[in-house]
Amino acid sequence: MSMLRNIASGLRSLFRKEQTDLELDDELCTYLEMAAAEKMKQGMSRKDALRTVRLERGSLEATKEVIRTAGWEFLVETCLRDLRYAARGLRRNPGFATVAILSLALGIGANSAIFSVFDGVMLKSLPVEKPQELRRIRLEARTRNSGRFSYIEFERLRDSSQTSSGMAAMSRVVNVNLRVDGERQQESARMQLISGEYFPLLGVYPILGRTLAPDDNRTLSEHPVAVISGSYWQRRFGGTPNILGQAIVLNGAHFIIVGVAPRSFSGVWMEAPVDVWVPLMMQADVRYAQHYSASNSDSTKPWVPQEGIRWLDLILRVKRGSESEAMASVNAVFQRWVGREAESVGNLEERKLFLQRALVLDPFNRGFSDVRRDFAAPLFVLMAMVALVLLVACANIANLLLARGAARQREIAVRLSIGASRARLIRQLLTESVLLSSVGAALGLLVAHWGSALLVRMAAGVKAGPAPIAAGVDGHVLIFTAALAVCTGILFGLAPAFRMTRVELNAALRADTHSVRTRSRMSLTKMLVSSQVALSLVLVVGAGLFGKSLRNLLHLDGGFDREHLLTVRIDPQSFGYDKAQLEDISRQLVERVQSIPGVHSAAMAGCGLSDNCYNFEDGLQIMGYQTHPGEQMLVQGNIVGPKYFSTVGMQLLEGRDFSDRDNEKSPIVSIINEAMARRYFAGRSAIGQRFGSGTYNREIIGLVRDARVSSVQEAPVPMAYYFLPQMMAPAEAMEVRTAADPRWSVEEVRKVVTDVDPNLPIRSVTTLSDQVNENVTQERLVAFLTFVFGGLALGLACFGLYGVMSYAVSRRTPELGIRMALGASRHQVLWNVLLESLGLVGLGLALGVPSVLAASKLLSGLLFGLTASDPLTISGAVVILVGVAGIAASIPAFRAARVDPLVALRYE
Amino acid sequence: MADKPSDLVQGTLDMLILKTLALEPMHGYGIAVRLEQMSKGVFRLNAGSLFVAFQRLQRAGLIRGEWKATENGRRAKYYVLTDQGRKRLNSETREWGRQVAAIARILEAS
Repeated sequence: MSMLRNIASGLRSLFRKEQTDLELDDELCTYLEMAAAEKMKQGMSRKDALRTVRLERGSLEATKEVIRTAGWEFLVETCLRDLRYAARGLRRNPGFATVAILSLALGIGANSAIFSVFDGVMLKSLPVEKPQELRRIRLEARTRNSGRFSYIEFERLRDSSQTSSGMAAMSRVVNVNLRVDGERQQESARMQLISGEYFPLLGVYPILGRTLAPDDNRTLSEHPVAVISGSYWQRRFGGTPNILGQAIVLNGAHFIIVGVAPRSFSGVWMEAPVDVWVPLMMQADVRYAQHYSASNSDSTKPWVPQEGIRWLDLILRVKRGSESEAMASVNAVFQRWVGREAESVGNLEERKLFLQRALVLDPFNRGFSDVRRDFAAPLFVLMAMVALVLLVACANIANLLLARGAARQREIAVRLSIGASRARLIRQLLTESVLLSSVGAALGLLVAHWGSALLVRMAAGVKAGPAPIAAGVDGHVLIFTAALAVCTGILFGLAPAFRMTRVELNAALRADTHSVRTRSRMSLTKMLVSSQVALSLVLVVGAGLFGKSLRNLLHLDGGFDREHLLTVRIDPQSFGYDKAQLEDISRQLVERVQSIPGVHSAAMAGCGLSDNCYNFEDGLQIMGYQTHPGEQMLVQGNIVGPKYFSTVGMQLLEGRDFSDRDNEKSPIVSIINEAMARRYFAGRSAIGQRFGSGTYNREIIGLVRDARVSSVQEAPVPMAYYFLPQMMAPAEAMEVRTAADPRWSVEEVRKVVTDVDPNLPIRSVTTLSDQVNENVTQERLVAFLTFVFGGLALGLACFGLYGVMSYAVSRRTPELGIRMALGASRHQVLWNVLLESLGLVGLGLALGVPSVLAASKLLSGLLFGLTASDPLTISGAVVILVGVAGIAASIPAFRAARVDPLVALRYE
Repeated sequence: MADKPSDLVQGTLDMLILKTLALEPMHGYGIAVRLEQMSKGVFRLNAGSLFVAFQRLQRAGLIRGEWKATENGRRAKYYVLTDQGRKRLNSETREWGRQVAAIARILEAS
């Protein structure tokens, strides 16, 4: 209350200055008059009385000054005055102001842009009620960490835990074929299956109709209701209010739209915004068959009643402070069923491990994100790098300010000598630099606005359409930018301000500014240039390292021939073909595609080479392999059609390929990769060995090379290939080998597939090299940005070096003239200046190389195929820096060599 | 020492002004004279610190000013104690008493 009054009164005296001044005048006059009247009563003359009063009580003007400077508004007032003065100064010096503001706009804008992505990816919470209360349940065990639960497990946990206020289950987000009832066109949409508790738990309320409730998820296959997202409603239906009751077909199953979620909410998966939500009970109807692990179960039957199929993520709310109770409560439930299950585990050691498992609660305020996991480290590196660029820019501006300070020395000396305090002058100078950085930051916001959209698109590998990650200039970014503006202003302004106000008044006030000693000023300048060189070295080395790493990724030996490959992804399941029909379609597809001119061969597969859709099988047993207690037997599986290995160019090392002999009636056979052989058949031949889950029902008939597409950061995983005719699962991809550039065949292949079956949805037709590029978007982005940052820093540093040396040469013109008059050759002068510049660069490098080596440790996890202290890259960067700096320095050096002694001496 | 007007103990000027105004509304000069009289000339205030204190007290809402005519026909700004100011005066007086007693105890000990 009193603070408000204080501010109001302060503002009043700021904006109605004259009136408050007048009032104060009046009051003080009355005061002095009264005091004088008192004195006059005692017999003084009016004149004497007034003088005595002034002596005793202080003069009118001095008192007014004291009162005026007492309030906070005085500070504001002087700041405003300083600002006006600074703005006038900058307007008088437009060249300097433009250079400084533009480089700051770039530097601060780049920082804000990276920060906006960082904020969007790393910091932002879900747009739901009290996101910090959300938790996700995860099973923690020595053998298997898993977030997936079966529906039955979900029901148990939900129904018997008391402390948490509700629990919800959800599937992953998958692509489905959506058709609006009454239209012919199929389109792709993103769907998520959820339990009825999902929306109430998150506290997300519909903008139209209703959301799904627990009653929408009671009976298997009986709830054909769907909620669509606000953004999908806008995008697909133009925001029509008649949407409620609209029928849609999802993978062949009919649904009715009952509600629209708010636009701000697009699910809990950052990079997979959901278009449509349907109840979990509809899993089999929409043919959801991804992201699950199964044991003792049949994944072709509905999943809800099967305890062995784990496919759900569970989230719950935990009130502040009741974390441990919630944990105890879910674990009490969990232990009951684990205890029961453990009895079926024969091995004592295994049983002990089995019983040690527990449920843990992870914070879920930011939802799921792969991008966050993948980008965390690169984003930190980028934040650091862009900050370095800003530092280099700051050093430049500090140098410009120092140079300008030399010109302003007289002004400063005059102000000091008429009584301005040094602190007051420093404040004035800092106001000036903060004004500069603020204007720069304001422009920087434009850069950030544009840059963050570009970054997000590049990061997600999306060229058009809505950005998958919400990042942009918002409140957080504004605050960040404002803070950055003030900090940079002080950072580059402080040293020059101190240096500029330390003048020898006598020398400075003499007309001849040349006689002012500037040694210390020059040494600060040189220090700044050297540190610029050091910082740029760090950035150039970073660019080199990431560039090389990217090249290594792109030219990786993948274990197969990566050129001339085309992958067609189809979605045969959504139409509900039976196995015989699918086989027929597959055969026709291969035949027809192979008959396209320019196509070598084609083969069906469960999923594409670069897809990560392989199902991990849990609990495999391998004949002759003794598992350690608690060891997780992980083998990835893919099913492939005839001629698969020859089509993709994967070399068969041992054994035989699949053939017509292998069919539904013959025993299941498998071809494994080197990684699987290394891990499970070390020191013995894998051919003829058997493995399986439960029984040893699969025989190994061949061994192929490890195939790596581009997710190369990890070692190849053990992999088993099965033969399509022997397996139940459908083929969802076709690999096509072409003779020429596969891009040319894309359209033809697409046409043929449509010809074979017009109803068969084609997910994509892409070349493998495109897929490889897609898989390295993150590396490409980091390499590109570090390249830009490195170049920027290098340019700025050279600009700094050039500026400093030019300035030095112009100041030394008389000296150089004397030298030359005394017989120094042009050659010697040239070398003299050049060597001085190279000395600065050398000092910078001497500082930079150790910093590079220290910083490189942080990068090692992000590099592929080279160490972070790669000597070739570092020496290359040094050569580049010295070269470019040499060019920058040679201009003033040549200018120095061209000095005409006569002119130079007259100049003095 | 005794013949020279002393400086006020830090922070007590506000309290003294409030005390002066507790009797009746008063203009600036009147307050100064009253303080000097009541302190028997120990405190001599210059206009600067006095008016800064007025400004401070006004902003804190403890006093408010109004222009009125004086008994000899001059116009002057009279300061009036607000309810809040009265409360503050009471609490500060109490606190002051406590502190003085405490300091006295310490000085008298030993």
